[in-house]
Amino acid sequence: MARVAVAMSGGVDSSTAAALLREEGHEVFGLTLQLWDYTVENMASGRGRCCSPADIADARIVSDHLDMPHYVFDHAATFADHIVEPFVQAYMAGTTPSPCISCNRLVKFDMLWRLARGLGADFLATGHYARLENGAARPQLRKGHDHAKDQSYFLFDVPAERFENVLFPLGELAKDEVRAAARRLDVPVADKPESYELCFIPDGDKNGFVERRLPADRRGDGPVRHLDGTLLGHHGGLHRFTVGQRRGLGLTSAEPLFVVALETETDTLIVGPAETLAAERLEARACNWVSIEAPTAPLRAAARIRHRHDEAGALITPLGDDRVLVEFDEPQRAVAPGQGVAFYDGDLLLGGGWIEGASGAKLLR
Amino acid sequence: MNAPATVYLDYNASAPLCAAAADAMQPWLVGSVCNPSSAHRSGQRSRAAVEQARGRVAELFGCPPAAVVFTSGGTEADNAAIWGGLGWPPRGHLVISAIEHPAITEPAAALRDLGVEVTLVPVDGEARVDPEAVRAALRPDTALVSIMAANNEVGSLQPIEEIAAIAHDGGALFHTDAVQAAAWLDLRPLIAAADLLSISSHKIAGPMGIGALYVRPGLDLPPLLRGGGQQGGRRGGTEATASMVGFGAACARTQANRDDAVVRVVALRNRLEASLLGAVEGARRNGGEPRLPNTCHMSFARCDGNALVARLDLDGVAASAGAACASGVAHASPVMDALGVPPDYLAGTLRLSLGYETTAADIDRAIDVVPAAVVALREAGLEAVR
Repeated sequence: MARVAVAMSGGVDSSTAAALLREEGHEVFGLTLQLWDYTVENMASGRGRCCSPADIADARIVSDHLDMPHYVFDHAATFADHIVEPFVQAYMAGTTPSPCISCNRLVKFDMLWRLARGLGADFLATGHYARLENGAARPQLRKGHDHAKDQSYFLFDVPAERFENVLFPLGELAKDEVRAAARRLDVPVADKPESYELCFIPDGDKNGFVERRLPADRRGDGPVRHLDGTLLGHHGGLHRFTVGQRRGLGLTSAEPLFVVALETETDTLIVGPAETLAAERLEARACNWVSIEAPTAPLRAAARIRHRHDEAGALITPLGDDRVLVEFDEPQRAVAPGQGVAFYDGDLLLGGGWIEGASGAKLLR
Repeated sequence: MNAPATVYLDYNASAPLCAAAADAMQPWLVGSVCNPSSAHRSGQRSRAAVEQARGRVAELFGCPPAAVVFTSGGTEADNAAIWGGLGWPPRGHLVISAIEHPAITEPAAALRDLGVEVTLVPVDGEARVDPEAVRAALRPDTALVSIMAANNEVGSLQPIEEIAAIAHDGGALFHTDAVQAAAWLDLRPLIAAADLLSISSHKIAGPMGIGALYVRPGLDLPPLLRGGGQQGGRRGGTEATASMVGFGAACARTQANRDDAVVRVVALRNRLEASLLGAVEGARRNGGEPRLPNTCHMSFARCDGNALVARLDLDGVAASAGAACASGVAHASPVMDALGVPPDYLAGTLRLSLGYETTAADIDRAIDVVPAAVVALREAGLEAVR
């Protein structure tokens, strides 16, 4: 029996994780971080993926139902500084941020992990769909058994040593098995619908969210140019676009055109035909290695360049300074700077890094 | 979780319902409990119970029963005093201290929006109001001065009789929020000095959702809640028989046990405080004498008060964080500001408040658990991200 702190979002996954740990007889208590001040965006009644007032109320109800202590900590200021502000800055810099990866590193598996340890927990458990084996020299972190729900990608930036005190009770389960377990254990939120939005933008209006935070003198709007230099139109703000995007360009052209680059110096959106999106290689910085030691020689791996991307075979070459060069076996479409790239060996998450730049046959820099 | 039996040291938040109140309420929770305003026999029984309860509150106050207005709690009593004290429509000038409870500061802020001028009187380094500062704040149009009898955070007692006399000299009404004082101070001298005084039932081990406002006989206070003319038109709304009866019983219990409890509890509190100050490096006591006998308000350097409260709860001690924010970014309350609490102590605030039932064993337990909890949280390094 261990003393386990469960990160409770009020959703079915973390609630079921808590219920399963209780069933196993562990001494369990719940922790919820209130990470966003919903009054700021006038969303008092909104349900986010986590930590909206209604979700916190659900977490309290579930904890009471499971007869376990539950504590809510207001870390909205920290979240605003460490996650939301960089999120807005990233869009202003013409990149595509991955706030959930940063939140796992900086908030869930740092602040919350330390909080759990400070409160005397042996382990921190979360509702992530990932599998974790400890005991070897390094933790072995694998994709969730349910590949459709797998969340290991979002964990690549968490320092490996943190996983020694982490449990993922849902790693072996499929989503419908989690729902079934929730019903069997009479978990109050067993049938609660899922949200796929960012927790701090529950209405999904990312553009509006960023625009409300832009400096007064900056809208980020500017020209839309074809790769060949032709001026095609005007766009409403670089933050509205990501590499590979087609929607929202407002262009009429014979061939389908996609965003291939965002140039912040001139607020120019560069578009081109589908084949120009193909990147043969990318460079990633600030790499973090989870299941293996940091490589000192090139290694073969499967690289995932965004959530739900089908990994592509690649050669990963260390460049020093925690940087790597990723050379794909086959060119990959729409590599977006700012996103994370995770490296796998089969189900095993090796590590990952942050995409800085990409280049391909057509788009040479 | 098989949590150990909890030692309850959060009486300033709420004193658990005492047996005397629970027993007194029982007959009024079930069966044919009727509207005390009804003319029939059932109504008459309810009316008698309500008026008997009012009498018990009046005994605690040392005032005629007719001077007691039941409210839904301390917050309503404070709102009724503040809104009523400025007249209807509200006009004139309001004087409050910088460390009043939000039940005072929020209605004051609303009145300011309506054009009422509000003066905040500062407190000294012991969270005490200087009566001369109140005198200096008075203006010819000052309608009301409201100063709490005992501060809810650190328990500092205010020189109410002196301040009331100064307010009256200046032609203003005087109100005191005695919510936190009621379990520990003789209210009669305060009632004698004040025009208006608020208390709350659940702070003296009565039921929640009920409180009272003393209104000096002869004072025509505009009501906050207008309705069916209950309580002489001073507070509309059907009287809540069971709650009032429980409140009355709690008042009687307080009156009977207070003097003994004060002597016993102040010794326990002092032992607790001295032990913690001795056992924990980087600990300080907040607030000086005179103060409530039951309140132990401390700050620990490099520690997070909210995490400490959670840790203590898991270890079987129920307490409360003072003025702190879990993010580690301290939002100092006016009280902490006034006390000059050093920055690295601001987040690590803990309030342990004792009650009539607190035992020496409870205090032993807290002395055993609190220092280890502070050390564990410091070792976990909860000050900042990265």
